[in-house]
Amino acid sequence: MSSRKKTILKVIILGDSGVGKTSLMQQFINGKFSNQYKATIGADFLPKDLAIDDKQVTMQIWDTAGQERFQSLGVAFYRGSDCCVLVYDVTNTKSFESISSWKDEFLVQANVKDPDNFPFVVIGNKIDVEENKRLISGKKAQALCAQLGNLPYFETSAKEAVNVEQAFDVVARNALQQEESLEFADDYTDAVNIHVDGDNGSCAC
Amino acid sequence: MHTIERAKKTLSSYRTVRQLSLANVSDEYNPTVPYFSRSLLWRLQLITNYENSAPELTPANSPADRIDVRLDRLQSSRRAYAGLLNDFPVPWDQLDPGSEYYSRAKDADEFDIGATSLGRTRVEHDPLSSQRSPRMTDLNALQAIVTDVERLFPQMPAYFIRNLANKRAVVEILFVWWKLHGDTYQQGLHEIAGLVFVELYKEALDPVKLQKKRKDGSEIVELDVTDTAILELYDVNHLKADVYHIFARIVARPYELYYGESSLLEESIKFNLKLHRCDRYHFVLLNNKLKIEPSIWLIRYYRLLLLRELGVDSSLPLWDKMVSFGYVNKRKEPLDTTLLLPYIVIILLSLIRPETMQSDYGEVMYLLLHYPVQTRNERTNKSVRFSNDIDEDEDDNHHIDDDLVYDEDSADSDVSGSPRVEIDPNVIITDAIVMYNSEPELETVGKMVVERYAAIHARIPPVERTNSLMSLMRRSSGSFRRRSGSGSEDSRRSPAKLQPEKAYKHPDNANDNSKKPDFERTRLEMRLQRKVSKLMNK
Repeated sequence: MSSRKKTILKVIILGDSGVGKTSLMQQFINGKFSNQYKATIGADFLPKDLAIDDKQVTMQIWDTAGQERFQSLGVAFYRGSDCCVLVYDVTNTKSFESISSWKDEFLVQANVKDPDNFPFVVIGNKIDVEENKRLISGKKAQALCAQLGNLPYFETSAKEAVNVEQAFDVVARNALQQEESLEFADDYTDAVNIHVDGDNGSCAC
Repeated sequence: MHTIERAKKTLSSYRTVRQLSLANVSDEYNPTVPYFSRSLLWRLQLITNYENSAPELTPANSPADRIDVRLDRLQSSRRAYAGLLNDFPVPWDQLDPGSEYYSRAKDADEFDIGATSLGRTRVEHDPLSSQRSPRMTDLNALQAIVTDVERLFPQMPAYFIRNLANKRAVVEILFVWWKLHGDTYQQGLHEIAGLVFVELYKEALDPVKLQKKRKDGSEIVELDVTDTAILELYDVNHLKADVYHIFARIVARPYELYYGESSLLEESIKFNLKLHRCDRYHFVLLNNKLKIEPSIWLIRYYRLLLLRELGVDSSLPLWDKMVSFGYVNKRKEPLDTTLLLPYIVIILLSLIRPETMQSDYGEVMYLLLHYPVQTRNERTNKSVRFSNDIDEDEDDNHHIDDDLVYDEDSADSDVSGSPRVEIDPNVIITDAIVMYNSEPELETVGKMVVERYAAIHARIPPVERTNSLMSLMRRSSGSFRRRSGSGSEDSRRSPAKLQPEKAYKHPDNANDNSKKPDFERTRLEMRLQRKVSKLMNK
């Protein structure tokens, strides 16, 4: 491993209980699906190393409990996120209707610097179901995403590994962009400090 | 051994439930004892003799030569459950008609049909308050419960995944419990209720079938008067009522302490204080260096009473002892099943110190949320054997498929290559009791326990670690007992007098200097230690 400091991307997955957050994460990380994941309690955490255009990053994915509406605890889970994935189940209208409130709750608790430009990705999961079971059309979902600030939208099947890779690729890229914009801000402050130190040093010479 | 025989032997081996509980805490009455019956133990402690749990209520010299089972309490508790079900009928009829849980109001339940005419109205929430609604609607709660029970114990699908009747039973129990206790139904409760259900279900008896068998002459068990009473205890027809009461009492304190956000944060702070007193290394590492707030991972450890961390097989003996310890230490309502929990968690942390020492934030977080417990093949085999026993014994509707395997999450098992920790629940409980009883001297006694565990794991080369840890832990805890105990070897032979909470009261070797803390060896840690002591002096 290179001695350079590895970039860490923190990604948080939110959405109602049972929409398939754990399945999506498992499919992305381990490339497999099980019909029977247990309910997530609190949150789960899985890291994955990947390369984005030759840049090595570690994505730390936080899979949260969908039934939990964290208030004071949310801060601890959400803080420092670089991207937030909002998941609903295309066969569950309520889970779709919750998307915008999950987004709002995240922004309130994560305390992000620039809420208007914070990267979200919306995922409609379980598109493998029969057509008549599907309750939310792609059109309807895209309208919502447009309304929420042109959020990238993907329709996935964690079960059949449809679009999962693609969705997380965008998640990773947007997260990296977000992280670099923050890093840039930090670098800038550091640079000023170094400069001041350097001045002092040159005087001593 | 037939369930009835096991119950008889248990009841006649101890004079009071308190004695039985002490025997369980001290590991004399444990699952390896041929006449051990968990569902009997729980029923006695949490239903029939619950009122006697306070020590002052137990007659010192009870004239009885066997446990007095208060069947009247059993009967009234079962009537109470039927009443609750009547008052709070599960709104199966409000579910989507396509759901396999849906049933029309009329045949919704075997209980009072009249109750359904109450006509509960669905409350539509004000849109502004819907997100932070303090109370769920009946339908919302039922849907949330169904969502969770649908994925209950995927590692033993025969119990729930493939058994709709059992799933409906647990849904019903949780719904009634929620109506009475909860503002919102919360995830995690379903797993505790589910495991209580499994344990009672395994041993349940069907009186009708037993009767039939007797007529056939195929059943050798003859029922006398006490047998009939025992049969009543295990009666499968009252399974749900008993699971309800046992679940409600096991979960009472955990719900109070861990299921609300502010109380959980409070408990996390308390945990941190304890951790600071006996494991500075982890305190500093987690709080100062990695900035991992304990609530983030404790939420699952605490809410599920370690079920996810340790798996079913290791959790059950731990739960037995946490209940038994709560029973013998009950001073006020409700019985407290959480007394030992923080100490057990501290011990679990100390066991992974060699790993946390060389890990960054991501690795430590991963370790905490995927505690590297070793699940042994022997244990799996034992579980399967046990389930076969049931089939032979009762030959009723409790057919557990052959594929019943206590296999922990497949998702977890293949991810980490890090060494796994083998847990001996009995040893851990014993040490947790030591820590609990020496709370004022946690800095010395607690630290000693922690250092011992950390050392056990660290001394062994990684390759041998998993194999030999168990034996080492046994040996080490044995030496601990010898040095600190006051005749615990003797008391093991006379269960009636065994009082572990007294035997371990004051380890006199509090200043054990021979055990230099491992972490002082590394420079980094010494630096961290100085930092925290500076912080503490502020």
